Amino acid sequence: MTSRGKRPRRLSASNLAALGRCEQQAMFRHHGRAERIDPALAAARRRGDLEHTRRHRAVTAGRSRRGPCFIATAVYGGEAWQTETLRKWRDRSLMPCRAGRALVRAYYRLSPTVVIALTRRPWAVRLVRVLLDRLIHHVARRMA
Amino acid sequence: MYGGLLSLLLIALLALWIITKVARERRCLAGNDYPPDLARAVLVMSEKELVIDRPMRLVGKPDEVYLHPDGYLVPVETKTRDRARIHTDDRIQLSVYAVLLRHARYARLPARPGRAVADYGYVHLVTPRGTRWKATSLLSEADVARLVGRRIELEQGTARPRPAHHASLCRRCPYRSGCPQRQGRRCPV
Repeated sequence: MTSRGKRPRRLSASNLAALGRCEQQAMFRHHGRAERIDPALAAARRRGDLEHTRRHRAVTAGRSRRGPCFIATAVYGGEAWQTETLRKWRDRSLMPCRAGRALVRAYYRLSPTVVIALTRRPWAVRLVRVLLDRLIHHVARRMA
Repeated sequence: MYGGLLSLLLIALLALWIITKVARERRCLAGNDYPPDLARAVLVMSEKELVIDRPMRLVGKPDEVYLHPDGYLVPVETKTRDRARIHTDDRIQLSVYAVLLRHARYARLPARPGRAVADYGYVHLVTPRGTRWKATSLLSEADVARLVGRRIELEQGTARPRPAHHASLCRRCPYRSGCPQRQGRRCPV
C-alpha cells in the first residue's frame, strides 16, 4: 500500500506579508505563542476591523464609486434593485469582453453630462426611465 | 516701479499655488477622491477569497480590485494607520494579491490566458487626518516564490528567523516580553 504525501498548506497573503515586518514575530504567531496586547494595540486592531467593514460596505453599495455619474443612480437611486441589476450586467457581461469595456468607458465619459442634463429636465428623467425599464427587463431575463 | 509690480505678481502666484495645494489636500482628505488612474476604473471584487495551487499554493482576500479602462487589474489594500506611510509588508501583501489575480479562477475576472495585472498597487491609508492613496511597485512572481520558500523554511525550522529591522516595531510587538531578539536594549542587526 502506498502512502500519499500530505500536500503543504496554502500560505496566505498576510502570512507572507508578516515576513516583511519581523520574521521572529511571524514565527511566534505561527507557533501560537500567547500575545500580550496592550490597550492601544487592541484599539488599533478594532479601528482597523471597523474601517475594513465600512469601506467594504461603501464600495459594494457603490456609494464611493462615481455615484453621481451613473445615469441609473440618477433615475432609480443608488440602492435600487434596477441599479444593482445594471451593475451586475456591467460586471458579468460587459467587462469581460473588449467591446463591453469600450462601451463602459464611453458610458463613464458621457454619463456626467447626461446626469447634469437630466437633473434640469424632469420629463427627460421619465423618458430615460421608460427606456431603462425595457433594458433592465431584457437584462434581468437574460441573467436569470 | 517694475520691481514692485514683479514682486506683487510673484506673491500672487505663490498665493495661488498655496490655495491650489490646500484645496487638493482637502479633497484628498475627504476620502472619496480616487487617484487619477482609478477614477475611471471599475470595481470588480471586494473582500472575495482567491485560491491558487499553481504555480504556488496561495490564498488571499484582496480588499478591492479595480479593472482599469485599459484592461488590467489593480489591487488595493486598506490600512488604518497613525501616519500615511507604506511599509514593506503592504508591498508584499499586494504582490501576493497580484499573483493570485493572475492565476485564480473567478467568474468576475477577465479570462485567464492574457489576464493583465498592473505592476503596481494602491494602499488606501486611513489616518486620523483623513485618507490618502499611495501607489507602490509590486514584487515579481519570482520574488513572491522566494518568500514562499523562506516561509516554508522558517516553519520547518531549517532557517533562523531574522529580527525586526526597526526598534519601533518591537515597541508595539505583542510578543516583546519573551523575544530573544528584542530591539531597544541593544541592536542585534
